[in-house]
Amino acid sequence: MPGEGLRILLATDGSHGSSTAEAYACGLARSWGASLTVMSVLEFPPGMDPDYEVNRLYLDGLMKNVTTKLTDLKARAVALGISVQSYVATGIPSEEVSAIARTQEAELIMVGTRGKTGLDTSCWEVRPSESFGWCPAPC
Amino acid sequence: MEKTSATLNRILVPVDFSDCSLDALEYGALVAQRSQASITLLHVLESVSYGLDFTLPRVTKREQVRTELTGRLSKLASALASAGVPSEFAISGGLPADSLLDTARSQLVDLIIMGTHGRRGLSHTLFGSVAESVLRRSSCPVLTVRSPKFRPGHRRVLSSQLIPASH
Repeated sequence: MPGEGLRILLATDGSHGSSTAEAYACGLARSWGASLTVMSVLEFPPGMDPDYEVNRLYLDGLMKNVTTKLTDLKARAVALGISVQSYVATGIPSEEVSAIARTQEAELIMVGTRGKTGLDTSCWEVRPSESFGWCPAPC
Repeated sequence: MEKTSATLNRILVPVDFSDCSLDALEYGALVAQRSQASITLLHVLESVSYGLDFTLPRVTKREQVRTELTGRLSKLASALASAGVPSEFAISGGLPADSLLDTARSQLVDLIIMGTHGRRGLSHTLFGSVAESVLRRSSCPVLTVRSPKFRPGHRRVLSSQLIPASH
């Protein structure tokens, strides 16, 4: 329930949809006096070896990109007077977001959506709706 | 138009009187209190296909249902008013997701808060999800609430005496 000591979890992949969610999360965090946890997930299917050279290169590239984006996001939020923590996880996004929400005891999870429908939905997954089945907090 | 700030003046909460929709309303009430927003309650009466046995009593029954729903929505609005949350309610017809999105557009709501059963796998494939459909198509932010978030006896705004535990 929204109350004192509220923590909002913002899951971002740096896309346009997630930048809209960022603006919204920062706005809510400011007006509610909430702290913000920002996170990104390096998508990596289970069963693949992260130490295999090609996978290592792939993950290192993702990590570099995500770290830059999270650092920038954190700076923007801090400039607004919001207390921020950041995380990078590796794995399946919906599961990792839910796991961080649990450990951080987030009251609210915010994620952007591209709003895909029809054939788009079948071809490209929509992460927020995937999270419905897992989320420990409203999202 | 896409919103990029968190201005919350009007929140739309669809209610089908299931536990998860009432939990969403409870959450919505607390968000509204905090943001000094108003709530629009919406109940969607799904359209009925009449067969060859279409008779007047069936129409009368539907009117009775509508009257009963109006009473229940009034009680919810009163509970919200007691908690200092201004609200209004509406009953509309049609497919739940379409009707909800139409209302959100016409009333210029800033946020939709709705319950979700959190179905996965086969259950999700068979029964689908109104919340998911709304999420994909809504132009305003959507906040979904799953019931297991809350403990029994958690409702502070909507007391358990007012609302039966299940529909």
